[in-house]
Amino acid sequence: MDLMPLSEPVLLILLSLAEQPRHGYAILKDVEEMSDGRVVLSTGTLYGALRRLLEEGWIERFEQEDTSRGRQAYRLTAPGKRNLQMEVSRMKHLTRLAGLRVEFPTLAKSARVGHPKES
Amino acid sequence: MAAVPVSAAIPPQFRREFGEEMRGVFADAGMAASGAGWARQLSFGAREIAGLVCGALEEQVRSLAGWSLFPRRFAVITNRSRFRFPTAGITLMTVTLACVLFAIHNARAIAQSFTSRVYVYGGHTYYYEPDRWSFVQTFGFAFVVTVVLTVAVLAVLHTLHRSGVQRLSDAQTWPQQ
Repeated sequence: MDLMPLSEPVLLILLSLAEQPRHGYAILKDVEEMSDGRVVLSTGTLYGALRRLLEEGWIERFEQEDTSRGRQAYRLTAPGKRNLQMEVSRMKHLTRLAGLRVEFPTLAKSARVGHPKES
Repeated sequence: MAAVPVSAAIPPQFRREFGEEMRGVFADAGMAASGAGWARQLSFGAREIAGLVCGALEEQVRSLAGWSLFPRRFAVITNRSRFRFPTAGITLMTVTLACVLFAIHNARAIAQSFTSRVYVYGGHTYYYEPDRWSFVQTFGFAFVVTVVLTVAVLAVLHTLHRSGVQRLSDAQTWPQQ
C-alpha cells in the first residue's frame, strides 16, 4: 500500500468522525469549526470525499436512531482509524523535525525527513 | 437555480446513492447561510456551484474512465502506481489536441466552401482535394502517433535511467554526512 499525505479537507473529515459518528451536515459544521472557518466544504466536495472514503473502506454508513429524517451517519472503520493515526504520527514527526531545524539548526543538522516507521 | 442543471450532470449511480442526503445537507446549509447576510449567501452559492461542477466532472470521468480527474483534491490514494504523471494533465492534453485538430478541420472546410474546386493559376489547372479523413479519423491517427512517440521516448529515457521517477528516486534531499 502506498499512502500519500491526506488533503486538509479529508483530514478534517476524518478527525470529525474520529470523535463520534456524524451525518453530512454535522461533518460540514464541525470541519468549519475545527478550522476556524478557513475550510468550508461545499456539499459536492463533502460527498465526493465521503464516496472515496467509503470506497476505500476508511469509513462506513451507520444508522442513527435519533434522526428525524432518517439521515445517514458515518463513522470511522478500523483501517480508517489506523490510517488516520499513521497520518497524525507522520505530521507529529514532521512538526518535531521542523521545530528542531528552525530553533536549533546546528543540533538538528543530521535530522532526516521521512516517515517515523522508516527512521 | 443553476444547481439544478449541474446536478443533472452527476452520474445516476452517485445521485441514487447520495442525492437525497446531498439535498438535505444543501437545504440545511442554505438555511444557515440565509440568515447571515448577502455576502455569506453569495459565497455559499458560489461555493456550492463550484463544488457541484467539480464533483459532477470528477464523478463523470470516474464512471466513464475509472480514474480520478482531481487526484489531489481528496488525496486518499492507495495502491498508487509508480506512474507519477497527473491523469488530469493527460486529459487536458488530449482535449487540447482534439480542439486544435477540430479547429484545423473546420478551417479547411470553411476555406473549401469559399473557393472553387478547380482553379487555374499560371497556366496550370489545380484541383482542391476534399479531406479524405473525417475529424474522428484524423484525431484517432494523431492520438495513436502521439501515444506511440511518447512510449518510445519514455522507453529510451527508462533505458538510459533518465526518466522522471528514476531521477527523483536518485535525488538527495539532505547533504551526505
